[in-house]
Amino acid sequence: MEEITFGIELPRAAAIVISIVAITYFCFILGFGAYFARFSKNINDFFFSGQRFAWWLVAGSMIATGIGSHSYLKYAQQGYETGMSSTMTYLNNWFLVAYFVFGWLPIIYFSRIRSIPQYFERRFNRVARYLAVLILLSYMFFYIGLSFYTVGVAIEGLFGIPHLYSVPVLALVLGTYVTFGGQTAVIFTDLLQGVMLYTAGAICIVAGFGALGGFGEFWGWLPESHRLPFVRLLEEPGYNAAGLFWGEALAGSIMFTFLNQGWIMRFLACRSVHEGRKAAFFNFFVTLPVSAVVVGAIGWIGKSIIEKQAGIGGALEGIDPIYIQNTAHTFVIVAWEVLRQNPWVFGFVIAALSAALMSTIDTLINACAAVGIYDVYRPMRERVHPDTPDRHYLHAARWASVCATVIGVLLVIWFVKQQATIMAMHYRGIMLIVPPLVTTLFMGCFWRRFNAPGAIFSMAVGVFFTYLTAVNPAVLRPLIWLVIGVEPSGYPAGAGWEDAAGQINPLSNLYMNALYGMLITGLAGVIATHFSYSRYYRPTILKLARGVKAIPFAFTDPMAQFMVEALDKKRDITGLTVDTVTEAMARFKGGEPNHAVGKKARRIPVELDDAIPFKQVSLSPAIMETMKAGDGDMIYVEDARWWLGGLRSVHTHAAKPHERGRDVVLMSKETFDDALMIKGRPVTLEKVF
Amino acid sequence: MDAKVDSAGKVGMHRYVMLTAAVILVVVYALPRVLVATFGVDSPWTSYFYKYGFGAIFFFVGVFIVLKGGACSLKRGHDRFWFRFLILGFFWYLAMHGLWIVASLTIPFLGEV
Repeated sequence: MEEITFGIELPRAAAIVISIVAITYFCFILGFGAYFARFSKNINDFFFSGQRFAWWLVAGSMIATGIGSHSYLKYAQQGYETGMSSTMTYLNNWFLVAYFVFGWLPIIYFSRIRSIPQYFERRFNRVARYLAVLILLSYMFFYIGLSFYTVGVAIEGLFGIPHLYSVPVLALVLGTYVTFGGQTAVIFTDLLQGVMLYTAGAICIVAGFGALGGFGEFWGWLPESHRLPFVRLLEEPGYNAAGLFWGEALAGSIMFTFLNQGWIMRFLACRSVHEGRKAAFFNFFVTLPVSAVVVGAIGWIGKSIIEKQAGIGGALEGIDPIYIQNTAHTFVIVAWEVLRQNPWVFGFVIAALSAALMSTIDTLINACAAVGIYDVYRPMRERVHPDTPDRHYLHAARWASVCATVIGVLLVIWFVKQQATIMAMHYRGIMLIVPPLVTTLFMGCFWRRFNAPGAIFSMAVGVFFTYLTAVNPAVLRPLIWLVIGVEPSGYPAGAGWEDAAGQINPLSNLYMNALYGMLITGLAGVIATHFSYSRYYRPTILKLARGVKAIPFAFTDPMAQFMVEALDKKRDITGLTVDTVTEAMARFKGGEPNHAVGKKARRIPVELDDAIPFKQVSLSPAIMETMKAGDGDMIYVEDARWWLGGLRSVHTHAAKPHERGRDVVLMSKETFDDALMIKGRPVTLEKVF
Repeated sequence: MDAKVDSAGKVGMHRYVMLTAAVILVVVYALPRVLVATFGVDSPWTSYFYKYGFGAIFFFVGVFIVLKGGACSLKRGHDRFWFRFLILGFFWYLAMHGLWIVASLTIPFLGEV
């Protein structure tokens, strides 16, 4: 069970100051998020912000999304225990970058995929979509509940306020701005909170180096084992290099970059795939390494301070001596001391900690609502009322956000009853939920022959066998033998590998369930796909479907129908696999893409001309030449103030160039209003392709 | 004629895939054993080469797939730029982690060992 004290004795006056800072911050965020509600005009704006934002805005907002609520507590603890190897989980995504930036990102963007399950339906069929919805929602609700629970633990430890009160209040704040503001509010509040997170982390790091006497002292007093970027191959069951590679670098990273609906929605908010790639590379190359330092550094500093205290035989100048009995309290103890027990600055740091929670959960709530609307409610509603207006779905999306928040809060009750640490619950849950979905999606993207029978069979088999590893971990033994290659006698003694009988037990590795689940899912997919192309497949399925239909239960009829539906192999999957991205690009544009690299045309005045069709612009020949654009090319038009990041912008197509003899943009009033432009403001133009 | 070419192509492709799978399986078996025998199970270099050894397989298979599938075309201006960045990024991480280990092992610790 999590302990609920943080190892510091907080004076009453300090607790009041910290509370004031945190509450002020919450109110500010609430107002900030609510302001952006005005930019959500329809369902597309609510979930994807109209696909108009600049890369830096999306990349900046992902800082806070990537740092979870538990990150500061978990990684400071890990940093204290194993040192700089706490960065491992943040620095292992590069292996998958090619698959993401050249494969998955253009596929979802050009094919106008709105949710992960929607991809499953278009790539496979309805049954695959429903299976994906079940797995995906399990993952997202699990994550929302765990995040609420984590902050409940933190608040209880610091202020003594039980989960019962703290979690619903937090949920109310979060739920309000996500419900009314949608994705635009999420992006802008997350951008602000990302800045807060980095600022708070930087303050703690600078204060820590100051307490130690500079970076040289910090590095010099850090033991060798704590300086290394990797833990040992078999450090301990919960954190070892072999497990982290298979469980985190592969399964975890694919889940986060390919299947995290909140993450995907950020990229879909970009103005183009090119901007999405900029945001992705910035994230992998800059944001993740910096975040790894920000969340782990307090643990490293704490270790260095304790070593120096022991070396010089007493407390460091200007701060009280630091003692850490329970490493779970590392962040709070070390931050409180290196900040010289200043409640105002510490209050700001705690507010930033809350920012990490809020930004993770707001993204997930918005994502859950997107899945709820696009994959559950809308398909059902359209069968009965096909002409339902967009406004209805916008209203429903807000209710879906409320429902996602409430379910997340209710799940906290379940987490409170679990007898495990936050980290163990986190990894155990993720490693059991994600493998079937991760593998099926990956195969769907990168293997054209993979089809609906293969996807359905692989997900069903994958779920069963992945859960089997929780019931009977012995099935993992051959796999561990293959990929680790170390006999039990070679495992380090006393590192936690021993079972109840005191024998080394390689099965306690926390990450191998994911690899097992992925392999079984992949194997099942390959076998089912190959069988589905054989001459025995059709008669076998038809016979089975007839047998199922004969069973006198209500659900057997649709089940038989689904089985027959799965026989259909004539599905158009253009644009949904990696080898058809070029075709998807042409469909997205509505013509042949123009890849000539031109320049932006900046600060061009706008003139209204209602003869120009909606979402088209007419430009001077000189501007067209600058951008290397031709008739029909996609042109992105935005307010010339770059720092708006595309808040006032629109995608258009180039009409025939005008002959007015000067550089102006002609567009209709309708297009002008749709872009949320302001009269008298010049615009910047960019050819998309 | 076309059908024959298709059929021959498919057979060739199957052989190619099977051969690749067999090579990967051998590498998966051999890599950890060779590393442990060479550096020892506790060495940071074992973790380093384990991660970048298996990681390189996934990375370069991904590069091959996106190039072969046409999702990344080096004839397109933007694609060429990102492709170079992708490859440089891999070697940047490889070098950065290697130098980090060297710095950790060579700069003296000020406390008692």
